[in-house]
Amino acid sequence: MAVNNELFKGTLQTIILNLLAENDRMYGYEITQKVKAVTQGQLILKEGALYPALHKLEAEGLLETSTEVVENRVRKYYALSKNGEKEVVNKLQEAKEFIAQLQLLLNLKPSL
Amino acid sequence: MELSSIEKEEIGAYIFTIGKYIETYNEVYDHVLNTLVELPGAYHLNLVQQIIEVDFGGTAAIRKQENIYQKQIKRRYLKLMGLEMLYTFKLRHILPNLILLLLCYVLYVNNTNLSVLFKTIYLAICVLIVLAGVFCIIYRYIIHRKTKKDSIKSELIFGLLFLPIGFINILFNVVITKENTSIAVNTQHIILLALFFVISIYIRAFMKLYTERITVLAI
Repeated sequence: MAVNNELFKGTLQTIILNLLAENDRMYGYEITQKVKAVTQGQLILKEGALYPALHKLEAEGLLETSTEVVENRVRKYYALSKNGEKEVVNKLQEAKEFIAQLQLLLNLKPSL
Repeated sequence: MELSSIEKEEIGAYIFTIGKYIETYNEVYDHVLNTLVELPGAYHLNLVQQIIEVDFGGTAAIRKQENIYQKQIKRRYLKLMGLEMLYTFKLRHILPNLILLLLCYVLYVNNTNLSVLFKTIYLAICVLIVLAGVFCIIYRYIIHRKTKKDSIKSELIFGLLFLPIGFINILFNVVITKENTSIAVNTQHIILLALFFVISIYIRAFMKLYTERITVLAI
């Protein structure tokens, strides 16, 4: 069953930051494919949502960018900045606390 | 699917018309090609239009996002510029500011002919404006002559360079003029020296921001 994408919109920044913490640098398409692969196709990250989130994180100074010419085209890579490295820890903690509250609110038991 | 160079050119030409900035073009073009390569079947331009529509939410959404992004970047770098200017007042960077301040004071106190001082600083500021203009021309028409689209990065640099120039123009045409009798000549000279001081800080901050952040900025 596919997960409702609306449910993960609020955690999109956390997902991006965490993916970049696990991978040195990534480009937009790579991020969408990674999300798809990790969730086995349950979550589809649309470009229309991904790029605004990436740009916002970049403008906030949490991401750094670099470009590289790959197969005669310019590819833009995103990586965590120093501030981003700190922020990912906070964001993950926030997400964990939120999930814990959700479990309480919805009477869900964490899967073992 | 495998894409031929002619097909890639067609895709490029189509995407070229969508956004205003080269940064948008590069990002969308790379994404569309990556998506197409993963798709089975034969290439058709309709597929590109479909990707733009379904994945990106259409051309209007791309333009809207590019506009938002341009503003976000501008805001961020204006803030960074302000911070760089403030950093020059930190203890380990304050020495050049103190020397400059002392120079302004000495010029004000010891110069008997203030109109000469006025003309000299006015000339220095004019030279600065010309240099900024020359830098912009070299940057756009020599270094980036092959870029056929506008760039967020170029607009940012030009904006940061011409921001003080606009301010100087207002000062010179409204405040520091012979016609303006409401402000005493002596006060006008103080304003001019203060302007000289602030611009010197601005230039140093801009040079630091340009070399450390803007040149590596890949937007």
